[in-house]
Order: sequence, then structure tokens, then C-alpha cells
Amino acid sequence: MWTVSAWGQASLEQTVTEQEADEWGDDWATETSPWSHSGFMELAWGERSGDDVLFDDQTPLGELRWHQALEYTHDKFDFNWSHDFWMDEVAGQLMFDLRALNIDFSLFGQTDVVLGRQITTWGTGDLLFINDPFPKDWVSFFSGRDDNYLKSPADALRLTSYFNAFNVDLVITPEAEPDRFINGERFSLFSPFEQRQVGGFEVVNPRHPRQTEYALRLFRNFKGHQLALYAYHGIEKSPNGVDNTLQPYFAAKNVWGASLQSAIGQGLYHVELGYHDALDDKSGINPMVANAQWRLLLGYERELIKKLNWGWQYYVEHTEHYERLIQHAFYPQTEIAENRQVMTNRFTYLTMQDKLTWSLFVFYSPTDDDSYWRPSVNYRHNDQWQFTAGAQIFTGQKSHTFFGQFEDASALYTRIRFQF
Amino acid sequence: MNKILNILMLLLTVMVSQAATIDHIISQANLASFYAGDDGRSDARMIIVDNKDNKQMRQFVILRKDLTEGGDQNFLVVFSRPSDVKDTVFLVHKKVDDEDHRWLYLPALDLEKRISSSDNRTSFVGSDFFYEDVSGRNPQADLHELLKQDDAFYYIKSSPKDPNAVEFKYYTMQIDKQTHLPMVVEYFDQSEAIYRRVEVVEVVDVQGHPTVMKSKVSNLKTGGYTLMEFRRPAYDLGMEDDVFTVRSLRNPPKNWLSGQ
Repeated sequence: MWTVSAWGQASLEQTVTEQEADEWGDDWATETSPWSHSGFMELAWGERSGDDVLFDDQTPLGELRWHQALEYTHDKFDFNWSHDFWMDEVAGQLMFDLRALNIDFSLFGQTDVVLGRQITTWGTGDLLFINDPFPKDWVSFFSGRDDNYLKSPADALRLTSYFNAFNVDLVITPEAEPDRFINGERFSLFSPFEQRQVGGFEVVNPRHPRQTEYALRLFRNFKGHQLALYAYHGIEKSPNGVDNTLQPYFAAKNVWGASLQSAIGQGLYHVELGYHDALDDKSGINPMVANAQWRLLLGYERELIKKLNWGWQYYVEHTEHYERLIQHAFYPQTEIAENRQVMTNRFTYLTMQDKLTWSLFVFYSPTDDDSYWRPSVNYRHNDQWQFTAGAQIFTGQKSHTFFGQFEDASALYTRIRFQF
Repeated sequence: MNKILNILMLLLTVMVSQAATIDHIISQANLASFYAGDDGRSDARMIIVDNKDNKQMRQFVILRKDLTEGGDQNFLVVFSRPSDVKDTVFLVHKKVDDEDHRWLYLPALDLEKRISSSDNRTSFVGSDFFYEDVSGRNPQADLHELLKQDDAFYYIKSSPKDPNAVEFKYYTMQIDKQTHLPMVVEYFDQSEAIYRRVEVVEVVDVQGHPTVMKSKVSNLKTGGYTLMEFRRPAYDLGMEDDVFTVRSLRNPPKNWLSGQ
């Protein structure tokens, strides 16, 4: 090796001083060890903006959280571990969540395997999910935790094989992992059977499902157009069915779907379609089990001006055998609309050289006449400290609609994070 | 009449060769800066310093493969520090004549996200570097003028063909005659004041390619700056095409991430 342009060194020495050269401080923190770790401590607090009379305490979020990730890298495999411990003010106890415990490795050159506890995501929607059947944590999402907590882990086997014609992604979850759904403990919800708001304690407490879930995706990238086909055999991820013993349960379902994502000018669009087949109520006459639905999503996003991104989506779910549903319903007036529509808008604006992020996500349903607003601002002071403040605001004209039932869950929150 | 024609012809020839020369200089600078070898890898890290001396760090590995010399390229950027971006992966299919195709992988959500092309003259991961400083600015986007030259440098002034698309009125480059690398690039605002400087601090020969090992971007308006440093650069490794597919978002190629 030789250094060219000795003049370059000489002439630039004035601008780049010795002191600056020392600013790196440490070495490259290089891969001398196959182990690596990272994590954070976070203090979070939320307060309802109005009162929910079903709760004595109007705090839906109060916690001191320790997140820790540990990774071991070998030539042939990776080992991943991550967990959260937190003191939960609302639950009144120390909580533990194992977020990841898996090994991943490759087989036959073209197949990637992940075995163990893991988080999985696919599909094109932004906070609207048609073909992503993997568990979501709506309690965290509603309470103002970091967006990363929307996804919850499952004990599963994932096989992803890459071929010239198309790629295959298969996820088998031996024991179904439902969503962490709204169960009344932290937020109240509308009970269609009691025809009133219920909550203040764990009012929805179904048996854990035992079925095996199979999720399949075939996908390929064709000249920048991303095409995918999906299939799923498993359960409704929330216990919105009622069984013979009048207990809430996770009804069996199949999902068939497809999506396309591509660029159009400077923007991106996505189209996703899915048929949600209700296996426990094929004919739609059982009022205790949700009917089959067609779900369609259209979306577009682009950068409007420097550092300001905008995303828009239109979503519609069409309930099949709607007449039969209404005929057999105990309370037809609180059944969902035949064609429930939702529009979303997302604005993300980065300022102060990406340190300050302004964000707004809005769900609005013209058919339900309700909405859900998620404004937030995040300040990243440096690589260690982050501050976030935001709100979760639900509005609605009726007490039974999807977002409207959570009107009393509207809250403000703030978080302080130290990461290491 | 004949004489006038001859003089005109001569003048035209001089102008054409002048233009040819500058196009050649710019083209060579572009190739030297962004197309060394058919593919390449390097560790990279940045220190971002604001005007209050508040510091941030980014560390990543960058892999590149050229599809055509001076044309389309693929990039894979795998972050290792700080901890909130660890294992975040950025895949870019750079198109010279079209919008880039870009993907981002966020490990905490297992989210593989196609992202829309953004203004290339905005901060790259919160640093003072722009996307364009990292992946290259299309030489065809500007009109280039050779101001002067001496034994060591060409001095070039470049003005945008579409002034509304950029924040500068023009920029100047000092291009090293020996290595073809632009050693100092200075950007001028509408009042023709310098507000931004990109400079090469250290160049090393790697497999016959003069390679920038340290560089600095200064924001003269805010007083902030970013230092970038490279380590273990290597070229012509014979990277497979499928290194630059969505598979690498979830499973980045270990053999190219660790510098051999």
C-alpha cells in the first residue's frame, strides 16, 4: 500500500485536526467476539385524556422496561435471544416477555431456516393486515409503546427457499399464537352480547388455542414489481367467536390472497386482496361466529417535499352472506357494515438532520363514522437518549364500531429511552 | 470567405475538444469515485458532530456490484451500530436513467419495506453526507466547465441543468490529475457563498485503485460536520448477483460482511 498525493495530506491537515482524528475514541468495536449484545432501558407513562368509568385508575401505560438482545454469530448459524422485563404499573407486577429465542441457518444453498421463538411479518399494508396472519400486540399498540411492539413473537419454524422462478416462504406454528387482543384489562371494549361497554378487568378470557397454523407465501420480484400469493390455515387471531359452552374462542379460518407492489413515478403503490374463509360458519347463519369476508387494500406513498413522506390507503372488507348474518343476529343494529371501509393517511417529517421525527397516522372509516389518530414526535438526542411524546385518539358516533368503542381509551403518553 | 470558414472550423474544433476533455475528466472522476473494480466491499463508520459538539456514530458494511461500468449499480448496506439500527439493512438498485429501487429491512418488526425514492440531496442516515455523496451524482445532471488547471488538479465548476431540483447554484471540484478523485468539492448557494464542503482526507491504493479512506463533510451554515472512515476495502471479489436480492435483507451474506 502506498499513499498517493502527499499534497493532499499537507493541504488538508489544517481542516482535519489531530483532535478530530481522535474523536472516534474507541476502535471499530470489531468482531473479535462472535457474541454481540444491545438493549435499552425505557420509562413510559400514559394518561387517559378523558375518564373511562370502568377503570379506577386512568393510567393505561406506566412502566420501566429493560430490553436486552443477545446474538451469537457462527459461520454456519446465528443464535438470537431477546427479552423484555418491565415493572408494570397497570398490572401491578413485574412482567417478562421472551421476544426471540431462535437459531437461523441455511440449507442446500437456497433455503433459510429460522427455528424457535421469532417475529414474522409479510404483506404490503401499512398498519392494515390482510394476509399477515402473525400475532400482533394491540394492547401495546393502543397504549403508546414503541411501534416495534405491534408485533409479538410466536414459537414457529420458518423455511424460506429462493428459486429462479419464485420464492417460497412457509411458517408453521405448531400451537397457534393469537394476537394480544384487547381483553378489558387495560382498555374497555364493546360486548355485542351484553350490548354495552365492558372492562376494568380481564373480561375476555378464552382458552388458548391448540391448532397448528400454516402460513405460506409465494413471491418474486419481476423487474421491480413485487408479486406475492398467500395462503393461511389457522384461526381468527382474536377470540371473536363464541362456542357451545358460551365461551369466547378463536374460530378456525383459511385465508387466500395476493399482492402487488411497484413504483409509479416517484411513488410506490400496493394492491392486496384476501379471502377470509370462516370454516366454522361457512353458510353464515351462526351469529356466534364471524362470517367470511373479502378484503381489499389499495395504497400509495411518496415523498412530498424533502424529508416529508405521505402514505395513503383505502381498505374495504365485504362480509359475505350479509342478509343471513342480519337475519340470525341477536342485535342486527350493532353488526358490522356489509362493506366496511377505512382510509388511512400517514405523514412522516424528519427535521434537525433526522433527529426530530414528526409523525401522524390516521385511520378514518366513512362507513362506521369513526377514526383513530396517532400523532407523535420523537427526539433522538444522540445514540443513547431518545424522547417520545404522542397521543392515541379515538372518535366515534356509535359505541359499537371498530374504533368508536375505544373512545374512552384516548390517551396521551411520553417515553424516555436510554439505549446501549 | 474560405479564411473565415477555416477560422470558424478551428474555433469549433477547439470548443469540441474542450468539451470532450471536460466530459472525459468528469467521466473519469465518476468512475474513480464510484466504480472502482467490478464489485467491492468496505467497512465504514461515521461520526456526526453538530454545532454543540454533540456526537453520534454510525457503523456499517457496504457492498457494491456494478452492472455496467459507469451505469446501474447495486448496493447493500448492513448496519451494526448504534444499537437502534443494528441489523437494519438497506438494499438499493441504483438506476442512472430511472428512479432507484430501494428496500429497507427493520429487524425488530421483521419488516421488509419497499421505500419510495427520495430526494437524493437529503441526509444519509442523519449524517451531513447526502445519499448522492455515497452513491454518486449523475454527471449528466450538470453542465461542467473547466476553470483552470495546474500540475496537480483540474478546477471545475458545475451548474445544474435543472436548478429547481437542487439546493445549490453551482459547485466546484478540485480533481486530482493522478488519481482522478475529486479531493475538494464546494457547494455555493444562490448568493454564491460556500455553505457545504466535501473533502477527501486520505487516499490509499487498494489493488491498483486509489481509494478514499477518510473524508469529511462540513455544513458551513450550521457548523456541524461528519467524518467518514473506511476499513478493509477490497475489490473484484466475484460477488454473486443474488447478494443484491431481498434475501439479503433478512440474511445478509456473511462471507462478504467480514473482510477477508
